[in-house]
Amino acid sequence: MTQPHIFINANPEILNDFCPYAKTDILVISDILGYFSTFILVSLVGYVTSIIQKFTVIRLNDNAELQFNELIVQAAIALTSIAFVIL
Amino acid sequence: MISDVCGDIVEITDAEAIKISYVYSLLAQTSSLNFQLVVSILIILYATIMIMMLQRTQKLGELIMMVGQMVSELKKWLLTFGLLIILFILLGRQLNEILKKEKSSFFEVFQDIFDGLNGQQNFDDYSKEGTIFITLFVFIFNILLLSFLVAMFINRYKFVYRNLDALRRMNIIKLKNSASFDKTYSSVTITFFPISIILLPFIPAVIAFKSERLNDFILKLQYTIMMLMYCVLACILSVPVLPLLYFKSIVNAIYISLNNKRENFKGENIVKLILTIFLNPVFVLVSYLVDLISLPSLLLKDERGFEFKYQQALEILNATQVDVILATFAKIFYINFKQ
Repeated sequence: MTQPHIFINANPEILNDFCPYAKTDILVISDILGYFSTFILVSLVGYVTSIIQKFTVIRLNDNAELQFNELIVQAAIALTSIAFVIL
Repeated sequence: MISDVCGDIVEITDAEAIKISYVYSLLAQTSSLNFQLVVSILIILYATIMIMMLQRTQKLGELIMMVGQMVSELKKWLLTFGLLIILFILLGRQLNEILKKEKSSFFEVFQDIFDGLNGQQNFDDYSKEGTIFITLFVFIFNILLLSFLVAMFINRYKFVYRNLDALRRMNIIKLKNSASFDKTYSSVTITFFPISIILLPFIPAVIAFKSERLNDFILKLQYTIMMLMYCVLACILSVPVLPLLYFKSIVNAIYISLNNKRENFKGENIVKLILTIFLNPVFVLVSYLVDLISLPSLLLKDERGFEFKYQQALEILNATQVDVILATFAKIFYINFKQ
């Protein structure tokens, strides 16, 4: 990521080259981040539901087995998604 | 920051300035829990969960199952012979002054043992005794233990390959035990992400009331999401093919009009060609819409036959379908042959 403060005292010619591209690029990144955040939020809800579903199955069905590997990965995704939302 | 620097050069609105500041603050974070770290972890986790999903497919699933078995063998091997590796690390640290020319930290000794494990030991760093020590480790490890690990892998691979079908069936039984249909709570137990996205607020009600109607309603609600996803997928896949379908039908019509010598009335070939050109887009569009509309009705059939409805749709024809097929055969065998 370009550190823009190094451009504070830059010559106007340099800023003329830098600024239009920087602005467009960052706005595009902002849009991508928006879509990504929506995806993360949706998957957070989905994986929390999936974890609760797993425990419900264990409680209601005597023959069911808890799939630990999946549970751990889903819990990790949920926690990391929460960290992403906090950021 | 960019909005401050570039504000005089390019026009930046307030909304854009907020967006730019937000993105810059995210990407320029230097704290321990930063944006890059969180996104990297998320990418790793999503890749892992995708591998877990692929485990349920026919061909890739077998390979992933094999990898799982190998990992369990590696765990056994590490539990058994990891002690020997730890012994060498501890010895290397305790006898550091005798074995090495320069003093090393615990981590550096660990690195030396790891290099030896890969056969990349640097003898220049060791004294005469140290050279004997690391050679002994490399010899024991690479000739004996590594070969033993490979033998364990091969043995396990052969066993798993022979019993692959049984293991697969065992997994299906496990899955069926966990996700079997139940009249009162299957809306919680048989659905999966992403169609279960709306389920969260309804889980307590489904479990508390144990109502068949509520369960059925929520199950259908979730399958409506799946149905919409299928419709979107169908649109994405079939819309680009529609012009090709139209093009093919016109080429067929031109071919028929050039080769058909038995017209039912004068100019039939031309009339049919013109009708194909002008009416075909309408027919293609209508049939496309009919397919899209019939897809939900298939997915939302009564849940009692849910498990078998796709197979039934494939194998059993209803009375109308049988009539259509028999009429087509009759036409082919009797009418066309008479001509």
